[in-house]
Amino acid sequence: MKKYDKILLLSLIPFFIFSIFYFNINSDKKYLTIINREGEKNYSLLENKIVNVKGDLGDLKVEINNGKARVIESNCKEKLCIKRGWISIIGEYSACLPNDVFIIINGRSEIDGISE
Amino acid sequence: MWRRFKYSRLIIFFLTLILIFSTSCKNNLYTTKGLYMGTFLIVSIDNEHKNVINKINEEIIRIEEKFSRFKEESLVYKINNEKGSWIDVDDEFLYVLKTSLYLNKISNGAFNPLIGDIVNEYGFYDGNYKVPDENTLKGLLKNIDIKNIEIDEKNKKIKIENGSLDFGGIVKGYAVDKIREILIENSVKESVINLGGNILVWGDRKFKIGVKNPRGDGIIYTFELNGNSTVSTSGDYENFFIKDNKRYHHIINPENGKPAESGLIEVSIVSESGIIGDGLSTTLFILGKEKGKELIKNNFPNTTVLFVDEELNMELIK
Repeated sequence: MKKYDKILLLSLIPFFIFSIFYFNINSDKKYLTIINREGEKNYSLLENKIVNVKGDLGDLKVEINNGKARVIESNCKEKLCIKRGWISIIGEYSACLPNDVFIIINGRSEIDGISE
Repeated sequence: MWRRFKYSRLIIFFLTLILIFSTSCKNNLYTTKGLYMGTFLIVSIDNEHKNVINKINEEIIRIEEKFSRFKEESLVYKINNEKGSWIDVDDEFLYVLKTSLYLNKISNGAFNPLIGDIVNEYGFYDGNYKVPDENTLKGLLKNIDIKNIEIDEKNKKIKIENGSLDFGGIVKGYAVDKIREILIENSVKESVINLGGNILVWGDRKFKIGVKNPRGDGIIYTFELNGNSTVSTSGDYENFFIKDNKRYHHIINPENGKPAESGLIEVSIVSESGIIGDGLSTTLFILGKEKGKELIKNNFPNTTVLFVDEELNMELIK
């Protein structure tokens, strides 16, 4: 083995280990992202809870239960965010436009997007 | 110890292959999300071209400011509020209007850009939901004849006598087409754009786009697409209210002024053109499966369509 082969091999190994590690820990992990005017916040979908979210018209309540999420309370007129029901798979989303609030399941997925 | 590695070059070769494979699988795109055009915008783009996101956002805002029904400075608002007057428009506006009129023609009126007043009467714009009585609907239906739209192409002016313009069934698809122009201008390698469920996939690989389950969470179908495809979907779950156990949704049939009851609850279109795909998903939802198939066969034979009926049966035509 020549000197440059060694250098190349040594430099590749950390990348190799990192890529395998990174790929494994990120696959099949999903989490909820809630976006409002204040910014973006991530929540685990493993812990069942109710999250209060500040909207333009008032607070919304988002329920996380059993790996799924949904808006359960909003003071918007349309209530489309509530009618939307559960979102569960990576890329699925629900929006409350009057409140400027958007929730989406994030993570690595085979699916590049969801049309609706 | 290095002498032990007889096949060092081979090891390096395979390690490199694995590295390339694992990173390419990860499909690393930078993603931003925001609310625009009365809907959401998710932009995923290769890391090299993150700066293009600002241009995309600016373009969406520009289109919204021209085509929104609600923004007082928009052309649509002006035309709707100054009925009977000639209003100066531009080539872009005429293109969107004429595409609407083309869809109206080939669908025998199922797609109608003058439907705004009827959609408003049901409260789909402001959430004040109600079921209009038959007389009100009859009166409003008289106004949606597209002969009410007059176009002076030479002087780039339009006038409407009655009815009110609503490009909601077409403009998101148009915006997706304009975003594609930005991706091309900036030599973007890979991107997925999702504007209110209207999707553009861009790049040199296969993409998987799910179609929302119209009656629950998750997806009902997955399209496998080449880059440079758009997917548009219309469904009765997007904006609706329930009264006396009946679902009233926002996709109005211009024939009777009532929410379309064609037996379909969701239609997805895969098309190269965003504006046509967006318009067709609404049109086919109203026309129903058989008339929809006929329209596709006669006008857009290279278009893929997914029909979903009330029993969640799916039919794919391509």
